[in-house]
Amino acid sequence: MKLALKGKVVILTGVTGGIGRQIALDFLLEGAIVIGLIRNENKMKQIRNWIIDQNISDGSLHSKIGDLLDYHGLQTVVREIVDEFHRVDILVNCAGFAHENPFAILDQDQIDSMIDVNFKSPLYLSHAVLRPMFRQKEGCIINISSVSAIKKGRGVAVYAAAKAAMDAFTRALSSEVGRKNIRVNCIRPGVINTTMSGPLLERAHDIVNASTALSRFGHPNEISKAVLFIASNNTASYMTGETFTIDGGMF
Amino acid sequence: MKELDEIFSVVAETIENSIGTPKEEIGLKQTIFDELAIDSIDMVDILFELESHYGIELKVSDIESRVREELGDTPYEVEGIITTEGLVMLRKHMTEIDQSLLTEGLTVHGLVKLFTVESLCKIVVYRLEVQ
Repeated sequence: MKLALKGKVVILTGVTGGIGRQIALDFLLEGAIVIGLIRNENKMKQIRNWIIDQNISDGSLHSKIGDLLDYHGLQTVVREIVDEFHRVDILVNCAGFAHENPFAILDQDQIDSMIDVNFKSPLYLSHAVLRPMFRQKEGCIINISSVSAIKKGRGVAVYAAAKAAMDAFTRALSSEVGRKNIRVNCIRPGVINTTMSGPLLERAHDIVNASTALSRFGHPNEISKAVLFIASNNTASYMTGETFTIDGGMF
Repeated sequence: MKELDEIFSVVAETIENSIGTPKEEIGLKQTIFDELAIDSIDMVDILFELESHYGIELKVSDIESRVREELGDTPYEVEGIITTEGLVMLRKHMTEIDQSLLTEGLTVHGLVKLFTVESLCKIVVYRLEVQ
């Protein structure tokens, strides 16, 4: 079954991360136009090189500099994208990060930054794309949450709370905009092997092997494939308001 | 300035496209939320369409902007309830609304329920003037 994503205009945050770059690559493979929202061009060059190294053209990969916490700035960036590409079909809110420390020792800045990046930024950006999506009478928002939102875990209290908020946001927003043919869904990845290596990887292996039914890490393309499936109106036109856990069967 | 009739024609067509009510059945005096049964999401859709058509940005609160501007430092509302001075200004500027309903105790939220298609047209007129 074809996904029919050719020519679709995709805004993607977190494009420089392990999952984000794979999402970008898979959309490009399907012929979509991908616009990464980035803080600076340096890391974007690395992503372009990574994509070219895999014999994929980066001709449809674009970038816009944007502060994900600047509400008005994001409105402007989205307006620029609509001026240039004439529409916004898909938004993937993939940017996120965690300070993995016990809650008791986090400082205020760490708490605020995790709430801001993991939760407020997707709200701001979703708000900005709804205007063009309403006008198009079509659109798709996909939020990348985390299995932390529903599992117990140490060192991720704020991150988990922010991601759980994103799950709730997905449910509620989908109820508001569904009638306008805008779908909102969420993916909760489990432990995905992105940047870990060496001894850390070995230690993590033991834990992941013991705690997942599939006894292994996930690969970024096991998340990106699901993103594309949800983004496509050929495969997921009746799916909205849902959060899909992709965690290898975490116990 | 664009004529109200011209704007009404666009507004009626936009409402038809959003909720399916034929534009011939839409009148200036009809209330948006009760008589036309437009809900808040349809309202967002209609505002976005009108923004696109006219190249302006619209907010439902625009409807009260002229009133607030003319009141200056005098409060328009206190804790969500429109003041006596605010009601006087509303009667002056929002003649399209059933005046018998602009009474003491009216809330900002309650006022929205009284908006008519003409109120919507006036928002467009206001924004076209100030932008």
